[in-house]
Amino acid sequence: MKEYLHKIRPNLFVLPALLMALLFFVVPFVLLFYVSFTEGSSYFFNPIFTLDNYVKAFTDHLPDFRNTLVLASLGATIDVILGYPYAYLLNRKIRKLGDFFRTILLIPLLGELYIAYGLWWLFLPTGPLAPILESFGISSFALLYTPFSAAVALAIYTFPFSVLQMGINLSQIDPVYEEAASCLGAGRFSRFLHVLLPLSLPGLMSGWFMAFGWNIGAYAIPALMGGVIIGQRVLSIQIRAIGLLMMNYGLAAALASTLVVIALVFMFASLKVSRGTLI
Amino acid sequence: MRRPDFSTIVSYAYVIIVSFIIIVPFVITFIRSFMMPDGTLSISNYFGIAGVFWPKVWLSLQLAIYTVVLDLVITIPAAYALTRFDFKGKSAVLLTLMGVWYVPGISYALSLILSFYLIYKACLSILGFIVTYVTGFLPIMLLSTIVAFRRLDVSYEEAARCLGASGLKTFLHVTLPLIGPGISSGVILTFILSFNEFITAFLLAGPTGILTAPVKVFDDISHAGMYGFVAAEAAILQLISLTVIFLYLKIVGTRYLKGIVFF
Repeated sequence: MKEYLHKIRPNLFVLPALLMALLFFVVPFVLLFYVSFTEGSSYFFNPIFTLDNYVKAFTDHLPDFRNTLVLASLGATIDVILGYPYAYLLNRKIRKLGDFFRTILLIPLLGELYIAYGLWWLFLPTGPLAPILESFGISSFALLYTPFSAAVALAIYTFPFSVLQMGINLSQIDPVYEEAASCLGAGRFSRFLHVLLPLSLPGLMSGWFMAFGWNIGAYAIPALMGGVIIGQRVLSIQIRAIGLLMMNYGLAAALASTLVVIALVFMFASLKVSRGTLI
Repeated sequence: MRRPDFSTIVSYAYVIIVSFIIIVPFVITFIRSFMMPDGTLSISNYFGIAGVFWPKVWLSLQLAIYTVVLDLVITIPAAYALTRFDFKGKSAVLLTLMGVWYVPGISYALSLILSFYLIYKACLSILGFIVTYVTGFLPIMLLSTIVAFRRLDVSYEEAARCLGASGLKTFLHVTLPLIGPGISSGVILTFILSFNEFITAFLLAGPTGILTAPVKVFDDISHAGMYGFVAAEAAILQLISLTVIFLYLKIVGTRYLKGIVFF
């Protein structure tokens, strides 16, 4: 008996956590996929099985997919462009105050809601940025409710995630390689192009994938900053509107399932190329 | 004293500028919360917050505390088993526990609402929020507990066992005090994330009729975004979160965040 108890002990230890994850993560998602094959909200009464939801998702809602993917990839690209030098400098150059700058990266974890609200006011045609813009001859209406403003907000939201991926990768690259290249006469630019960039490419890619995977689920940012044409027609907002407001659970579940699949593909691509940590 | 060279100055300038861009939305909200329509500064926006807001802040705080405590209770044994034992299906268990972190919040919330309607009817209440948060933030707590256990040398536990301590006694008197500081990073992150959780709470607000503080702020932004009191509400929530982060860094420092959100 004691032998047996000893053997199953690890299973007992993981049981509470596993039970939570099974009951409130695995079961709901199985249900979600199941509901996505039923018509409307017929699941609640007597399910009518159909593939119509997916047909609709990829025809009527194709613009939603396009907008979501465009916004998410714009945000992720800004992240990588700004974040790669940031991660590099924190690793190699910044000695004093390094922890202070890393702490700054915790602040976007407070969530997209505050980022959207803060930038929304900043970008308003009557906001504080408008006079500066107009002095450069740009209309004060040019910022808010454009893909650009939403992409900037998304980039701030996911900046910590992409910097983390790139930073972990860069911290694993020995500076010896760059020193060797420099001893062999490589200039600053060719050292970057032929040594550092190829070595840090996995980190760069995983940072982009991770930021993208988080961006496609954002709700408050496209809702507040994207405007009516693009912001309201992204997947997260459509899923809520179709599911909870129009009660068409089948179509909402189909859209949500597709979103999950896209997110998982990118997140696992990120983990695959980086073999790194989890967030 | 050596003068800093040009490249160091450029490096610091770059990092400072990018850090500034990141905190701009948050700083702007604080400034906005003190601004009156005519451009003067005053604290009267804070008095304009409706009384219904404060119970919601208290609710969000309670939810965050429940989440942290329950997550600690279920992840410490799980992380212990995952780091100290080898068992069948370990990677499948890890994948099941971590999976929810990679799923967009909107899909997670919709799947939960469907399951609450159809299976777990009792969860159409505050209980629904608790199970959602506990499961949703389990990965981040698990990650930091696993890191803490990995950093802890097994020899302390072995020494205690050699001296005759039972398994439970070893765990309570040796393992737990030693990993305590390590799991503090999970506590702080889970607290911050669950206190500010928006999207799942926003969707659950429909069927349950319960509004948490961030959802109330979003509601007010969409209905009365131009008014100063909304900025004051958002500023209060941010201030609570930032105070918690600041106290944590003051007391514990950054070392246990390494490998989790720091690199």
